[in-house]
Amino acid sequence: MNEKNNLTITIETTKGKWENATFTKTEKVQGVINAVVEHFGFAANGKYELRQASNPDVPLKPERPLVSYKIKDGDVLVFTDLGVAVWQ
Amino acid sequence: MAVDARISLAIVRKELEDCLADASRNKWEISKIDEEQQKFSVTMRSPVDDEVYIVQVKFDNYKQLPLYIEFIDPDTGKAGTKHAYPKSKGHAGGFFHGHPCICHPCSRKAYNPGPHKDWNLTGWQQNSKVGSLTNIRAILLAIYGRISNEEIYGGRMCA
Repeated sequence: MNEKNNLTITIETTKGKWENATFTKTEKVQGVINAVVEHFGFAANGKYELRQASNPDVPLKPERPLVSYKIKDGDVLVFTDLGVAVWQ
Repeated sequence: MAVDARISLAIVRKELEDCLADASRNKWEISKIDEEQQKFSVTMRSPVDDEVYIVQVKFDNYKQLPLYIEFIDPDTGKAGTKHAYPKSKGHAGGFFHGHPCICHPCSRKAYNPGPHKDWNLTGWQQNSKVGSLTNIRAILLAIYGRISNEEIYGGRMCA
């Protein structure tokens, strides 16, 4: 994979930081969420979201690629477990 | 069953320290701990509609029992009214229950006589639905995440 097509970022979670996490720029936010769930062993049935640490009021839409948020090398994303919805 | 209050307090102090970066980033106001009453509160503002939510956390017998999480009405100071609570909507499903309570194993109010008489307080951290919400930081982040995401936040539970 051409390095120019990759992003190396840090992802903060309540289970620790994932430093130097590498994704393609076109990776969708949902793909990153899935990777974080697997990396840290979060529950498969959970509800999760990602936000940029520099813009914490705005959750990233799962269907959008990282590049669409102008995320760059060294940026920090914050991963949040929203809690399993016990009732619908 | 009773957990020494000093043990619960020490755990809460450590877990609140873990929240400081999130509190700064998300503009939460964390009160001083009321050691006698074993409680503290966290004030959050929804960036979606600018509504203020006050989360009161009682930590007696923590962590043998889950926290007793309650919302305080910012206008009247009353605890546990529907006006004090946010409302869930959309794909993320129910979390703020009309009881009203946080309907999740991390919330003692959700257990008997609340909506989940089927859950056991003992061993709450092993409940299959608890996920990672087993500490104060994770719980506060989940609450804030749900009041600051316009796709899953429906404003106040009762206008």
